[in-house]
Amino acid sequence: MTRNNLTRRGVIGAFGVAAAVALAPSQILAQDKPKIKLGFIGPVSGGNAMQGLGAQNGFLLAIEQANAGDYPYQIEGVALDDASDPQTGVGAALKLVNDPEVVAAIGHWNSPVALATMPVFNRFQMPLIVWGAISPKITEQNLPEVTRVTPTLLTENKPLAEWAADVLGAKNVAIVSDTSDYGAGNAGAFETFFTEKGGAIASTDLLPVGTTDFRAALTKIKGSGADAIYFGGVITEAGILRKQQMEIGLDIPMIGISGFYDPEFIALAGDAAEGTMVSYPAAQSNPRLDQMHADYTARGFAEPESPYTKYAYDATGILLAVIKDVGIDDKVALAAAIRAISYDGVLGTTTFDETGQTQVPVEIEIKVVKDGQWVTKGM
Amino acid sequence: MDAQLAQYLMNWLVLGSIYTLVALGFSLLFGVLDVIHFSHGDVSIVAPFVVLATVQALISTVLPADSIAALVLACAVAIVAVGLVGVLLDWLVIRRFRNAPAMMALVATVALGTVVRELIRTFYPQGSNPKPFPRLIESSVTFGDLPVPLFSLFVIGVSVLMVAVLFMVMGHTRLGVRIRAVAEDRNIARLMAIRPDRIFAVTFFIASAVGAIGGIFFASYAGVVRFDFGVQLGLIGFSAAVIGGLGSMQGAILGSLLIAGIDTLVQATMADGASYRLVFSFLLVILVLVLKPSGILGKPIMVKV
Repeated sequence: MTRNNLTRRGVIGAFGVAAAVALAPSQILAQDKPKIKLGFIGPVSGGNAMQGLGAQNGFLLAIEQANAGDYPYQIEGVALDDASDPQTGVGAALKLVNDPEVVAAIGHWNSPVALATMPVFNRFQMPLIVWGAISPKITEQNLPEVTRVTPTLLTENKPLAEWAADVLGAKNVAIVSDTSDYGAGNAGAFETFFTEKGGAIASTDLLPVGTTDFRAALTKIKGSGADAIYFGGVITEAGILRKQQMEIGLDIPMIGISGFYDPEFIALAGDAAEGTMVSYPAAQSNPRLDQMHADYTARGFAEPESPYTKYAYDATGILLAVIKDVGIDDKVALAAAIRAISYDGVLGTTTFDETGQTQVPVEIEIKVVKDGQWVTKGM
Repeated sequence: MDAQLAQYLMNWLVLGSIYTLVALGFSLLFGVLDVIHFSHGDVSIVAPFVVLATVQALISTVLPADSIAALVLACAVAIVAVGLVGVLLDWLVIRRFRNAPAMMALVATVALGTVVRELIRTFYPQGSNPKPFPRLIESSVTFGDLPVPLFSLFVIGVSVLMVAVLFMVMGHTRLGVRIRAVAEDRNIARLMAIRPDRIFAVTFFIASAVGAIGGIFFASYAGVVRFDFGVQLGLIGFSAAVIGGLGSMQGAILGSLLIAGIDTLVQATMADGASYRLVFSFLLVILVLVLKPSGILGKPIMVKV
């Protein structure tokens, strides 16, 4: 049985090789452009996979469009998985920097992973544009190779805290978050902004990523008389928390930032998800973004667009633009050119400040779960 | 405040019950085979995946959606299937280390745990992602102003029942006598016409099936299951068994209640206790190992020379 399978696989493999050999010459004839590679790292497996897959497709889409046009290089996209795990992320980063054909990379949805791989890219002077991780620490370090096209968690927490105090009317908020850089950063940022608005923090509970039982913390919150829960972690834990919150009869609003703005959250929490509110950068509409949505649909990816598709798409676009101008030989010049760019893309006109943080203004809007769907609530 | 206290007690009892079901397997296997079965947590967490797959298969073929029968049937299938998985793993791997130093079997089962996890991840559709897991019982009853999910009562009830059945089997049946005989001395047992290999298989079936119930409860209590949940479940179950005394069934129960108690107590009373909940649980393990290495109810292990 086993032997049979092996043989069958061997036969299929042989066909594959034969096909590749047969196709290869015609491919080379068709393109005498020099070949380069661009890297992508993101969570394409694990609890945050939907975010990573959507971004990966944005990355691949941008590359396919460049290849189809008259771009001076033939580009191959190398997409690697970090599984939301810093160790796996560093492994992926090492793979990219050690491949002489890889010119630059975009990466990461999870801040702890980005913080772990940045030194690797820095050591090898390979430009890295962060498309999804939002901890302020990433650009605070101001590594010359690192830039970021997403707003930081400060940008998202401030309006949320103000909205919670002014519109939601919360007076006493319980903070629950995870212990990662991202979670602790959120907890601190929300506390700062919310107390500035005169609100009180009922309690702060940071639980390790991977926690499956929040009942003890929730029971305490129930006794504390908090009128809302702020959650600063990501999707899986958010779903579990919300489910258990409703189960123990703690019927107060749960709010957060974009970290769990994902359909998977609703799938995990089920009916309990109703009424959960998050802040998320408002949908801009510009012709380029509409075009990208159309192209994404036309391309027929297996996964739907995620909120980060457009960030990965523009990050890739920025890399392609500077490589076209500066060439591929001088990595330091490439990094400098990224910082100096003024790029008209799907996000608007991206420019970077002196730390490499995007200066595209963000408007935050509130999304709420209604009838099993995320819908826009407005501010 | 009283309602809050009652809620904490409920959390503690449910967690303790779930841990007990897993810890019992560790203790049973160690008592009978002198094997620390480190993949026991991973084997247990196979059960919720079998439940999910079976429910889907049943609903798409014979039974209407939302049918409670599908869930009940799926749980039964999962418990038996995971029991057999335990027997299979023993037959494939663990029995090869029967007469080898304990360390070898331990390393083999650690590796086996990784294999089980990755098999779930690879073969279950989208196995890397967390899967929503249904509540076995949705409704709840209210005492005063405290809503108590029937599911919590069910978990506690089933655990108490399983413990009672296990004690009954071990103490008052021919099978129990045989298992205890093999645990005592497998060579002498052989002289009494007991086949140790058959007893080992039965023990693996019982331990894995009870663990499967624990795994299903764990997933249902969290509301979610992911391929790697077995790591934490196994570690906690093992720690509970160690605290109580490996090989002692009463010890496994005591250890589970202690670990769940510390977990709940730390979160309830300490500021920022949630970040350190596991720290305190494992501190307890260290403390017990230092003061009484054989565990609270364990007998001192004598090395046969």
